[in-house]
Amino acid sequence: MSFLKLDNVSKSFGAVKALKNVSFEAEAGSFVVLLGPSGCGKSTLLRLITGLTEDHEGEIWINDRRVTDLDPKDRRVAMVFQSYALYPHLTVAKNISFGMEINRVARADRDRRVLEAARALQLEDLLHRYPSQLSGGQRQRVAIGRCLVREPDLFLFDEPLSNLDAKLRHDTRVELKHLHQRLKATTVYVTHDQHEAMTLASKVVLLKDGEIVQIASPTELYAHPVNRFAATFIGSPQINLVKGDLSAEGWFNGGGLHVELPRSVFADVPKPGRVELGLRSEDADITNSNKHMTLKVDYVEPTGSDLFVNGIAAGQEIVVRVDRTTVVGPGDEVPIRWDLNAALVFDASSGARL
Amino acid sequence: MSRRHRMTPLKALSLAFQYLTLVVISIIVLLPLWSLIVSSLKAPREYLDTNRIVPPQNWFNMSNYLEAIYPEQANGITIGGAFLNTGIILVCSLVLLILFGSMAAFTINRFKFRGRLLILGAYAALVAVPGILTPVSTFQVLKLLSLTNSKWALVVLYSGADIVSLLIFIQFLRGISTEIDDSARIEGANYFQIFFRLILPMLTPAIATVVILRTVGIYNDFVLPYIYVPQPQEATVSMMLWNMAGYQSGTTQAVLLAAIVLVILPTVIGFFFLQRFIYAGITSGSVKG
Repeated sequence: MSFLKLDNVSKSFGAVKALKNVSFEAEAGSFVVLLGPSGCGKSTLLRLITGLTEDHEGEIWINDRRVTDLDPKDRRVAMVFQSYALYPHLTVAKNISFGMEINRVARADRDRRVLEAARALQLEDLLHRYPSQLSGGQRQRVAIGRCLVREPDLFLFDEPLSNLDAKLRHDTRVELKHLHQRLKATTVYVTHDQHEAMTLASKVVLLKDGEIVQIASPTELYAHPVNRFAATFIGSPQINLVKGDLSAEGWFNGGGLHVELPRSVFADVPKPGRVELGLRSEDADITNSNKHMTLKVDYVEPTGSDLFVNGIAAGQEIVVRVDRTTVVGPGDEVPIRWDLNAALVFDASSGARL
Repeated sequence: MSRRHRMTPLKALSLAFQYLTLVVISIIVLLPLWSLIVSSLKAPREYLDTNRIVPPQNWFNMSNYLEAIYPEQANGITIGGAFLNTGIILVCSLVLLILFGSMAAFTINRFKFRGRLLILGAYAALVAVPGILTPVSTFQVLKLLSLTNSKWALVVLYSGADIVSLLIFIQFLRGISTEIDDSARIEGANYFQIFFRLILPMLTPAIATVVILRTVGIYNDFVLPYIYVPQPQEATVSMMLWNMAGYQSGTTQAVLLAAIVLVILPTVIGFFFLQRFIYAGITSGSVKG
């Protein structure tokens, strides 16, 4: 039996359906990321798991207990909020022990657990400081420490990195990853940042408009998105979409491309019709031998490790990622060859992957 | 460097004008206070013979103050008793006011319920009722409660939260993320624990502002004590001064002035200690605390 189980969970706010029949399961020790654009219902879903938002349809199970009707405090969950929600008038130690004080845990026990958590999170020297005297990363550790001492079944994170600057965001993400590897606590993490999702998750639940689009591991999600939305949401720079026609023999024609697609890219036999061909920027080479298209370079973005070459091919915007030593500049016309085995084909109207 | 700081005649003139204005305004504000202090230190004869702003012959003549504190013929009011009454009224009504006001604000700000805006509207509408219209009915109510002629009548009247205090609290609560409440709820706190252990301590700046605003109002109030509590034993400081100034009292002017100085003293001292909060209170709300 899985550790966390959501069964047909739906939630409406008035006439607005925020979540529609959401079901997924997570194994003990897994790191589940709820990913989606803002307004997709991912935070609502998290609040339903905590019990902070009530009145929903469907059932929620945590650690073999049906928690659907339980109060937040009885669900054995702990949450790290976007703002960290530290109590500004209490010291770090008091912040961590607040829940235990409320629940009348004996003082000696309380102090011991605070110290244990502080040791695990390297907060020992900060126990007598106030939240305003801490850095963003330290605040997050306190928020996590507050969760740890409660020994919850489930850790929940609501966009905890979104208030941090880029450098700190990276550091705290690494810290989170380390922490999860060490503690093996089952975690549900909400974010709209695909990069966070890819780097942290053992399983990604991709949401759109209150519905699950795809549940998959990060690598699976990247390589085999179920539809155009999933393909465009994951990956930076965004996947290239070339509009064109597909023949029954598997030939794609459009956007300056006339290529025969390998059978392996289709789940079934190719269905002729209007399609969009998804090509990841890194699946391109600049080469004159057997080129597929010619790209007129608009601008080049050096990222350090690679060059993102942006340009137009047959009226469509295309970006390719090439080696940083490549010599290319605006106005150049460069020959492109794609690795078609990695191509994704989507139905032009429904967006579903063929 | 020296060029930049060189004073042009125009700049000097403008600076002189600024200082002149400040000096004039300061004199206007401080002169009555000066007059009060110097006069309160003068002997009875000297008080009559000299004008009001001449310094006293003896800066350490405390006889007026002693007379104010230990009057020869007490009308049932001593200055100590008046301070005690005012103090009791202040402390009791402020505690109740803060409790009622912050709780009402918490409920209005954090819970969505029917009639929420109606309650807020009712508070606001009260401001529109002229105070002069209500004493008769208020008196009836207090009489029904057997509270007339007692300082507890004033405690009851002052402890109702007014719209200004309520809005100050609501404004501060808006700046406190509801994630704090959510976090505490997950940790097992009920609404009372959330309010008393987290929200109330976090409202300290708002409480300071309300305390300052209301203290000034209550401490200086004359009308309500005059109407509801004319009893000398229950007199507040303002009532005591009024009694001393009355033609029936044998108090001399200089003694009255000494008493006034004594009454002003706590406010002045209080202001020096609390001015940090007063400035903070004025700018609060716009900037998150």
